[in-house]
Amino acid sequence: MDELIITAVCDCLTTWPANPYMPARGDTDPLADQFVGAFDAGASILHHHGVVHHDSDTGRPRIDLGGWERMTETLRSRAKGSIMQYGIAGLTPEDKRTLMRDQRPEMMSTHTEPHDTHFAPDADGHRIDIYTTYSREWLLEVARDSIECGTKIEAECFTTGAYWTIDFLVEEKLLPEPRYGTIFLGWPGGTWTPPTQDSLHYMVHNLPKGMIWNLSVMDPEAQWQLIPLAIEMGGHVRVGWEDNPYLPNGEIARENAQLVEVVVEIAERLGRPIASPERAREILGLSTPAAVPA
Amino acid sequence: MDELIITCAADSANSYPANPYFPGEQGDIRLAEQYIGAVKAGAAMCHIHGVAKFDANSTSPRIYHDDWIALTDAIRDGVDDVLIQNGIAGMSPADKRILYERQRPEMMSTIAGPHDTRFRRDPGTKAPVDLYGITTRAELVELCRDANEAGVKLEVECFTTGPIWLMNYLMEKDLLPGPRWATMFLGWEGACWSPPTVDALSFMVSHLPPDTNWNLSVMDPATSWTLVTATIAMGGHVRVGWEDNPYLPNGEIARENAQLVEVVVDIAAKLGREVATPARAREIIGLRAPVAA
Repeated sequence: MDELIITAVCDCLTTWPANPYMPARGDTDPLADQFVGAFDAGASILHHHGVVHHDSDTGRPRIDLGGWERMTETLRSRAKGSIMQYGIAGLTPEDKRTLMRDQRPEMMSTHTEPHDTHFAPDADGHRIDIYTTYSREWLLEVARDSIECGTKIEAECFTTGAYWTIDFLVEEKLLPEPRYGTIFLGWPGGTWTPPTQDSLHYMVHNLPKGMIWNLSVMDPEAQWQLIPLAIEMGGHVRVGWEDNPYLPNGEIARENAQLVEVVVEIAERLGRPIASPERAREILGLSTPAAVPA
Repeated sequence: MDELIITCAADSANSYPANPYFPGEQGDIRLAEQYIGAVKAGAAMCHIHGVAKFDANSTSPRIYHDDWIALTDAIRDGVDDVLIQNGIAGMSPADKRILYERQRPEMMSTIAGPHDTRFRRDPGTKAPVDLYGITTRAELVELCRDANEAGVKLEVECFTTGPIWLMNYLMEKDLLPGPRWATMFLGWEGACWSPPTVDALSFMVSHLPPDTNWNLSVMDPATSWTLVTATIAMGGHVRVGWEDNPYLPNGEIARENAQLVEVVVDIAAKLGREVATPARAREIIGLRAPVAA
């Protein structure tokens, strides 16, 4: 069994907007502090969203390229060897191409099925619903660009529908090995898969062949029950404010590092070593820290 | 265990366009004969598509209401009793309201959540057709209100467990009264795919809300008959017909949908499960009295 790769996801502006510790939109320095703390605690993949605005009319994400660049540069200099994974899976192919070409993240999250999520309420009780559909053409374009830029796709798997798409991309020879996918359990909305042990087994044993898998759970109670199981089953895990800001004792973590520390402690008790950033790169088949073309 | 409700879905215009026995285009009036034969063979419900024209890559088609009603009338005239379930789940709420008023269907299929289906077409014939769609929560609320007001029972299409979350969401708002009806779609290609396995079926069914009748649709000739058999044993209901799988267990294309229904009736008889009449199906599903002739 490979060492455990921990991914940190600190940006909860959309998912848990009432979290009092989350810095304001565009305030990249204090958010970078969160990521760096998580890295120091044992995370090797840093999943960030740069700076993104959701258009209130269309719900479509609008990215601030400078904000993404600023965040990546800060993390690369302060968390040496960390792996940049860009979130906002539903960005347009144009936005994804620009980000991959100009900023060379090692990984890019990508929808592999239509998307429908219903997030926790903000301080005023409003909830954000995000619906995204896409076409096979969109997907082919993103996959081709990712190969050209040397960026590994993180296939987001909310249901087994994503597995059909992964097989489709493999048939098109557009998803080179080792392939990487994250299983999302308990994310509320029309692409929900229950956050249960039963679901985790179901999703894992139906995975397409040759997939390295990772687990994300958006359910404060179930997350801490499912993470140990994923660690024992040989999967990798992601934690942070985005998925679940609550510690096992029910308190909101002031620092994402605290959430990573819980994972590290569970892994130690179960006897599974944590992957260093260098080791994570080997497991994922990534190059040494990417050089951004001048 | 309740008696087995068999639904016939005969319209294979999108799913198996090379079926040589299919008469003309989607919603063709000659399909009425197919449905009548299926009811006489033991189907209690007909899942029909009237005439509907899809723009490329959209799930929301233009609906030809007169043709839907003509097909419905032809089926109802040919049998003593039958339940009509409208397909084309992605049609607009306005079109659904018109059909509720004029056609009085017993059930209406509803896409719950996002949708992505690839009809691969018969290999070597035509390019695949992709249907993508989204149903917002606001639209779902509207669909439920309209159906409840019209006395129409919604069929919740479950391609994955995502729609099960939506069922719970609608139940919290008292918009999805019991007994509920959900169909598990296995092996339908596209990014809402669930594997056509007994394992997938057990997984999905075990997460259904209480007081829910469930039904199975498999679009995979290789596994269809195995899963139909498992469903009959598990207490679910089944839908068969050219739309889902035109092939008989011996690999030949069924000339008549009635032949596919007969296979189900035969399996049920061997397993000792009775087949529901339309009248009994109405009780199980919780439907209003039949439409007066």
